[in-house]
Amino acid sequence: MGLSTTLSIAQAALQANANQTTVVSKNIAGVNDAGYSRRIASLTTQADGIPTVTVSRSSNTELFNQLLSSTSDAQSADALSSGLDALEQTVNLTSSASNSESSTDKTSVGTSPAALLASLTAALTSYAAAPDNTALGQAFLSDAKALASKLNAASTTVQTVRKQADTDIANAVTDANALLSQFTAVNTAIVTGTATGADISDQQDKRDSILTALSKDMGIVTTTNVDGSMSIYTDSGVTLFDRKPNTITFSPTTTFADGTTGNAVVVAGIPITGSSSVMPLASGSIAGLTGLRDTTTVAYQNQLNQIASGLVTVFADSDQTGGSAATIPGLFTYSGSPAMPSTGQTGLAAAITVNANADPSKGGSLARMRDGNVGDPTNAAYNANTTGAAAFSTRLMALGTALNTAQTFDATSGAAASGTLAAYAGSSVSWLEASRSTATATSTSASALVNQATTSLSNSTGVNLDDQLSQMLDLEHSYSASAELMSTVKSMFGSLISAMQ
Amino acid sequence: MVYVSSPSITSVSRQNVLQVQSKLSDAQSELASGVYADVGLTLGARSSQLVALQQQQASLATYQTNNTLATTRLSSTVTSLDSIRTAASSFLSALTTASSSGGLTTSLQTNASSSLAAMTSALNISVSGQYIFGGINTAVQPVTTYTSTAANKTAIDAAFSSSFGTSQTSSSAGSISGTDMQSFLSGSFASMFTASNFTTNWSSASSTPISSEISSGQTINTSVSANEAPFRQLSQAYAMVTEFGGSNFGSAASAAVLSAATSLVSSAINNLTTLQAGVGIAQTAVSDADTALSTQSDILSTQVDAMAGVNQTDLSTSIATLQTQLNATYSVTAQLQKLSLVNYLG
Repeated sequence: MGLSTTLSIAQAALQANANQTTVVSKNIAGVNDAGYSRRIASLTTQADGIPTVTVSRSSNTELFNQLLSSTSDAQSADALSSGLDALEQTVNLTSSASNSESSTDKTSVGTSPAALLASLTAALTSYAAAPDNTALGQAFLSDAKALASKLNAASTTVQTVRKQADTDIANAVTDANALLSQFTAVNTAIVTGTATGADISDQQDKRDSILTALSKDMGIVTTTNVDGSMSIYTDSGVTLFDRKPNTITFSPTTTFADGTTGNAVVVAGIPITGSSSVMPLASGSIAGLTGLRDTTTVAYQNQLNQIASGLVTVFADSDQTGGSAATIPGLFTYSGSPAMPSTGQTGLAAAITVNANADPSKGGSLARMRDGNVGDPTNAAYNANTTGAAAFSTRLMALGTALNTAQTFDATSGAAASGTLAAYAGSSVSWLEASRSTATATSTSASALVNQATTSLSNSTGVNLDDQLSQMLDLEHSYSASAELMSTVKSMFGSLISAMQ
Repeated sequence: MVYVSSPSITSVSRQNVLQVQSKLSDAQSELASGVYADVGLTLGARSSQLVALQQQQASLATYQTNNTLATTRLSSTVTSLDSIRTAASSFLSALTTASSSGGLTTSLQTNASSSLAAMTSALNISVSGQYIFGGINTAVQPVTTYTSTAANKTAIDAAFSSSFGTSQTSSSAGSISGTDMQSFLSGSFASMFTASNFTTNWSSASSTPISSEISSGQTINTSVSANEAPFRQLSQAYAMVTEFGGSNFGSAASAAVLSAATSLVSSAINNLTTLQAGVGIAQTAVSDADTALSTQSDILSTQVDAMAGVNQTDLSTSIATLQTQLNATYSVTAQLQKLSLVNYLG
């Protein structure tokens, strides 16, 4: 051992110190980067006493996978919940409740089909009490028009939500394809780096960020291979990436109408959404949006169709003479008239209109609602008011009774299987709000889980600024010590040299 | 070793602030509207109950409005019936006086004709464009006004002349015997006033009265038709005296007219009383229904309030709590920001 050995150790210590400082400054730079994992610089002393620094990257696979799966769950719950929020516009229960609360206008019960049906029933009762009063007839007609156009508008809203979901699926697919192609480059770099022993920390950070982003689009599971490469599968087991990416294909539907079926998302020929899929995606926004597009909105549309067909049936005109004239759509009609629609006929809510024969502004007559021959004014068999009495109320009262008579509805529609039309419309509101309530609760708890997983992962692999700063102080001290040592050795060499002169 | 990353320290307080602020915003909208910020979300599957309550409220309100119409119609009916009955009573006493003083007079004839006109106009009243005595045929004036050219007058003239071969104003009418007169009055003359024939020349009213649903499932008749028995009887009696009460008739024929008219009017007064009692019952039913409706409506309002409404006292307490929480979060966030080693490095 000699002074020169001391000097070389001090030099190596300074070198190690510089490496450690680099790591600290890198960590400080990444403090607010969610995808950054803390680097740990560990100092080891070699057999000759020379210190060296090895840099490792903190990671926690279990917490990371938990973050991925909770992100996917939150995305699918959120897609469903947002879609249901959009559907709630067709009901708007809050505004109706606050309207009736102000109690100045108790007859206004909001804008849902159920509420408008209640208004229509009330207007019918009024009109039946004074069928000779054209103002009441006009009010009844305008309530009927409001209900018909509400069903049309609600149907449009449902199809808009479906179209939006379809577009969002297309966007998510594009996004996922872009992420998979980025992943290819990163994966190759990691494989090469692992083989050559290069620092691959930055690539690993990048890879984790890509996986986190991908987990928003679809639920994924990953496996790491011996060479450091990673394979990605959907949560249902379809291969998304194995050495090379599989292309995800989806063709968006241009226009949605009642009865339109959206396309499935396909990975390498295997459908991962839709009824034909044997390995359907369970989570992620694509799964949530598909559920919204193919199940929830379709069920709600069916309920609107049930209400529409119920209305056409109640207001249908039948032979009043006991003859054989067919029952035909009356006040509420649709493009398929004079045939009666089937229960919940596809496209009925979008097509239902108020018959022009009853509408004075379209050349019709209000009196036809009173007489029961709206559907076919030319056929005397439908006329219940043979004497033409102005205050003839039998037909209108019969309509009121029919409106309050239980009907049978599609038991699989989600709303009540039977009951009055008003009760069915009410149960449809319940179905929507209950679905929304559940979806919102699921979405809230899923995002809480994401927050929790993010925090846990951040605590496990993130950077604490104070910790890094205190490490920096340590480094500062050891740097001073090494420098001091070198300076001492220098003065010792100086003393030695001057003694020799 | 417990390790806390810097982002997670700040993210906790950031999320806390967001959460409290969103609750505060909901509470503010609840304070303004008096109902839950998102009623549908709060009620969930119970939403249909709220919808049903509101449907019932709307229907009750309609019945209340309709009943106002029925009430107006019924009280106008009562006024008309009263005036008709008063006129009939005074005509009856005039008839009684005439029969005790020995015969028809011109003043009685005038009385009959003006009473007929008064009854016609009482039955032809319209309340907001609706002829209330028209039954369900409310668009047409129910009773034909008795004029020299009117169908009801010409029909009587024709019947008289076909029975006696002369006109009732002719002097030759004086030869008509009491028996002939009696059989004419109870025969072809009376047949014009039967329920089925009255609508031929006298009345355009429908015999079907207006029926109103005064509360759910409770339907009552809320009008009186001009074809009812007392109106027919009075028309018959008035027309009889107007036409055949002239001094050109013999005393036996006059006595027959007088006796027939007296019996018709007194029976009509009895029938009118019964009719008025019926109207009174309908009025009571409507007013009872109204009371029940307003009680039900109050109950429904309370139920709606209980379902969707927020308790203002609870709300102001929770707003105060949220404000305190928000203040505390702000203060903790500010304190944490100060706590950094950077501040101590010189």
